[in-house]
Amino acid sequence: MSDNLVIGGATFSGVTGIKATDTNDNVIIFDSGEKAPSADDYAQGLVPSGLIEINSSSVVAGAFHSCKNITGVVIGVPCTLYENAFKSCSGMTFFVSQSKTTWNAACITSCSKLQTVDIDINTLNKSLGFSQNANMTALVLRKTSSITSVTQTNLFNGSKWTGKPIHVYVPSALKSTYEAATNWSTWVADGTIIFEDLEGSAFESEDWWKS
Amino acid sequence: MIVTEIYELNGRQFIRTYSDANRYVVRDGIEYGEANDPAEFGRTYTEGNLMTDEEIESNAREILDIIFGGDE
Repeated sequence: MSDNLVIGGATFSGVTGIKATDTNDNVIIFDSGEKAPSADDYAQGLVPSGLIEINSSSVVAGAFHSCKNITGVVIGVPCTLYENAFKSCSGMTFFVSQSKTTWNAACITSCSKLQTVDIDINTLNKSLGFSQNANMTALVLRKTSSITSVTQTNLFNGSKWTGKPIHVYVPSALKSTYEAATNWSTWVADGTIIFEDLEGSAFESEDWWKS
Repeated sequence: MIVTEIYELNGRQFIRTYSDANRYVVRDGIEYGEANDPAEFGRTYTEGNLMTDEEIESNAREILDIIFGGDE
């Protein structure tokens, strides 16, 4: 596969469980141009659906914008998520990134059925990272060497979170540190989040999503 | 400059720290757009780099979404 290969819009669309093997950077998967797929795209079966497994170093801005038939995403390599990469994926119930993640603003947003996000990330440092995911109930943070810092106060939503409390699963050794941490501590105080021990939880195994 | 505000949240005191010049506030090498800490920890910050245009725009967009409702 050559450098800077652009795989054009909908190349892998309609294929359940697609795997995109990355051999270098700048491989663009399903470049939707930040536009939602059209009715014709759906009618022709050109839109990704089902479980999406990504082995690419980046998911470009808007790559899977409004791909409503995606049910879950698993990223198996260090990956950069760009703005609106997974915006309005209204059928997606879980998102898993199993290696180091780099984060951009609103990369997973407005996914109305999203329940669980499982990521390994040093810093959640962009605005509106989980904005408008109103049914999100579980966030899994697997980083063990230190806590995942959050540097923006609008991580979960622009306005006060109105959904159910989000259970944040963290290594038990870091739980008290998280509860006193910058910005995390306010979400504990106002009931937006509840920290839970990752060990012994339904999410302890990295492969929980397979069941 | 760095601005700090004390406020109470469900019976606990917190300190909000931010820059009034669209800069990050920094502690232990981490840049925060805004930092909120339990008051008892006495955490202090220095003023850091200018926020990116992207961050300023995102924050502005957030305000518009609150007012007009974000798209789904």
